[in-house]
Amino acid sequence: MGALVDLSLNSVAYPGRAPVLADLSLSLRPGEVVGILGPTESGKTTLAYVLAGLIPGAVPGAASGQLVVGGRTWGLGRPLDRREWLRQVGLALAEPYYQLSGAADTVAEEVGLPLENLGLGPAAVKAEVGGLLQSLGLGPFADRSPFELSVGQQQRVVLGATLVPRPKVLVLDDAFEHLDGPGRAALKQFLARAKAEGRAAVLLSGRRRHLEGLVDRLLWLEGGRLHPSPQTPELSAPNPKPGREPGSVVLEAEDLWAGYSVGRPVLAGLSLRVRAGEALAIVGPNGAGKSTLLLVLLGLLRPWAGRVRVFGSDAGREPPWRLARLIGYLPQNPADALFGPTVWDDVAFGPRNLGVPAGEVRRRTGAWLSAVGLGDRAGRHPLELSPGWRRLVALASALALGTPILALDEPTVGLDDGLYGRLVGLLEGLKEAGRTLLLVSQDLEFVGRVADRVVFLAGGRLVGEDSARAVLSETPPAEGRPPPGSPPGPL
Amino acid sequence: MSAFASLKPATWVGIAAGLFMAAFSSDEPAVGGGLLAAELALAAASGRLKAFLAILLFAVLGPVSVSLFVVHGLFHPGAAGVAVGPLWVRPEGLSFAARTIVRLAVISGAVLLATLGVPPGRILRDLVDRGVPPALAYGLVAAVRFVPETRARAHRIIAAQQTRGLALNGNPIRRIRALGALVRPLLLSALAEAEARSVTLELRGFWVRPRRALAETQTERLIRWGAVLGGALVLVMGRLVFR
Amino acid sequence: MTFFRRLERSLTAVAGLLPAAMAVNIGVGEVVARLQLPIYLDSVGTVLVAALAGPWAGLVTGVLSNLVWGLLLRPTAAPFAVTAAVIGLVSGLLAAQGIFGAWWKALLGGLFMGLVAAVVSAPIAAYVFGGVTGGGYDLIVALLLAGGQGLFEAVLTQSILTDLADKALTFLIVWAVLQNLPPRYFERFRQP
Repeated sequence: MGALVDLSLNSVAYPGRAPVLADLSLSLRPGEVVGILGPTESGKTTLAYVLAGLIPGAVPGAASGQLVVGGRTWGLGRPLDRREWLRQVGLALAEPYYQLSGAADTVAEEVGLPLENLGLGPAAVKAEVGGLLQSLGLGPFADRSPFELSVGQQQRVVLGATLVPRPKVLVLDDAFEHLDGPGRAALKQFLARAKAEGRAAVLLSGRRRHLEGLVDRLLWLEGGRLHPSPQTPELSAPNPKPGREPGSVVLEAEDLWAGYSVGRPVLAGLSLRVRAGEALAIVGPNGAGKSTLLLVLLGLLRPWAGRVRVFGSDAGREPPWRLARLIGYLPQNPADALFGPTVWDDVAFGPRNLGVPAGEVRRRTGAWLSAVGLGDRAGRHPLELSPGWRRLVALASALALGTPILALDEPTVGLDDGLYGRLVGLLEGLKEAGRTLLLVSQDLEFVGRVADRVVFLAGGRLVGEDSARAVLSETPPAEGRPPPGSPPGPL
Repeated sequence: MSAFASLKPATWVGIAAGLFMAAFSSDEPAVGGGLLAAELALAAASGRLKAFLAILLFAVLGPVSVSLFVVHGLFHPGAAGVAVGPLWVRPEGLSFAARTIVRLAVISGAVLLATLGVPPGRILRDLVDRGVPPALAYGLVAAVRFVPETRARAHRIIAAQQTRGLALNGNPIRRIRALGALVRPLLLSALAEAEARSVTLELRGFWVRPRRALAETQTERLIRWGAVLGGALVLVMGRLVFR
Repeated sequence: MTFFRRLERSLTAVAGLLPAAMAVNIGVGEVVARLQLPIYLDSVGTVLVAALAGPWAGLVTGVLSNLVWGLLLRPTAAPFAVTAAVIGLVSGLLAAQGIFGAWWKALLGGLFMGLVAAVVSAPIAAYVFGGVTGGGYDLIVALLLAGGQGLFEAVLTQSILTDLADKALTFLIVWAVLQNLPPRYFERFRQP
């Protein structure tokens, strides 16, 4: 049987820039699921845009070459008819919030939007959408606003809106990072059905682990071309050093109560002690209070009751900008706070605020930019960088504060294998240097690799504690499954 | 009742436009009072009276009324005054304040009639089917949805910059300097968001959406244009004829 | 191509930008409130759109922003849609004159914009709202009235005081945002 998709791409370039992809060809058999692995800024998203017919058109740029889908040939280089293309190729991208159109009132309408735009009547749309919502586990949310859902649920909504016109080819560019249990199951189910029906899918990611188990074969994107995937050297097995002598207690929370609305505490009597030089991971299901705990420790959220001390300072009273001398923080959405005009300025921002002398600001900024691998990008605008690099800019800007404690909220999201390895190496170096690390992460492989000690949070209090080795040896729990030691009942 | 509840968004916009114009036709309290009564009746007929009153009283008139009575009751320019205790109260100013409150209630009520409780997506469809440029209709409706997330983002930025040592207290000069570090990320995120969202709109086929025939009764069209023309007529009469 | 057809095409190019910028106009209130500064900054999104995509896109952003307030249940913003339209249009025209090329030009442009905005909004504030907004500025109006000024004069003076500072800051912030901005944003949002 011939190929379902045959892409021969001469070149793709954005205005005024060198081509991102050149002489690239990609061929998919009916029923095939291909994974494309590539480092950050290798052009994965550009390739996805080309397949989805977005360049030129919605994305300014120039493309040349041709694309064959199902025996018909389209020339690249001029905008495609979207009416036709919705049935040929569907594309979902990372960051679900950006892929909610804002044009629909409910989840059902959002998912049905492409059909509505293809001219189907309300009854026909409803019939098509109903079953899909069920299989995505979104049935109970059909009449809710998609903007009220969790990020995992939003990613399922986006998947639904991509699948609903039944495209022959599904392209997912890092569109599965937030998929939880039902979402991943629905994706696998679709991929299985696509195989049976002779359709195809392309999955792109920077993390090998995210593609494993989903794809039939793996390609490697580098230098603007596709190559057979090399065996990437695995990161060396975690090698927990013999436990250092625990230092004095640097951070202490006692019977901490906190929340955002009266009568609904998120932290309910939490107590925790962290010693100097320790790398402590805080894990637990969504809504357990992990990020809230960090906010309290950083002085950003005043506790209702209880005591929280950081190096003897009362974090419940000190303003956050004073605590910035003690705790550096990498927020969950680091790109939010960057404002340039250059990467250098963003990293120098913190030490300047703390009144560090200019020479020392220059030294620290240069040193930490090199340490995270951004030395040659110091003059770029933060918006010019990929999401993974932006996270490292934010990390460097937290490190430049020179604090003895570092709190990192989901530091691995959006990183490719290379940046992930870089992050792990950097954190190991910081541990060596005696810094205290607080890690909030859903990525148990990362936790097992970096942390010395793991505490489990559920229902706003600690429900268990473990050495990191035990976490690593355990299979990652499914989303929503309570961690060991958590109380029974709804969380 | 149900007849009013099922009116199309555009019809409510027509009614609101008519009332809005009529609000400026006269300074007579009777005219304002009559218009306000009409709005209350319409709100009741479409089953929205409670919410209508609540917003009008607490969100709109509450804060402004106090200011109006104080500013005009005590300082209305050129008005004669009488001593009430230590204060010099001007009756003419009080009546000016009352007239202004009624007018504000009428124009705010008109806007509320067009917007209160209408799902934004319904407004979008209605506008696009009437030939309003989709980008325009989309901008209006989508912005409403993005406001909560933008506010949340503003709070995240405020939090993140403080943890990078940015002090938010102190004298005004220092706070104005902090302003840039908080507003610039907000604007840059809007650009990143705009870039991603234009891809999303394309992927959902938003620009190829066909215009649907409007299933609209003759009566509804009559109400809409009647209200607009009626409002314009009242304005012209009030300002030019019965001056 | 007719004017409206052209406008529609240029709006399509910025369709993703309009709601995001409008949401910033409204969301920026959180920042101003946190810093307890006596300014609004509620046209910062409009001015950014005007600088990137030109006066007509700016005008549309301004008008729609104030109509969105209606949907968010603050209907009193609607009459000031006129001011917002003028701000979008004028700042777009100023941007076309290269006003965002240097900080001091942006500052002067902002001051000019503040003057224009005050002149446009004072009659609305005086006639529709009786000169008060229910906020702290009412005190200034009261003081000026007590000092013997007429209502329109008092409102105009108050508007000039506040709008000059507000628009100068707005323009400076937009100038700073445009610094070193990747060129693709200018490509993407430029009017066809």
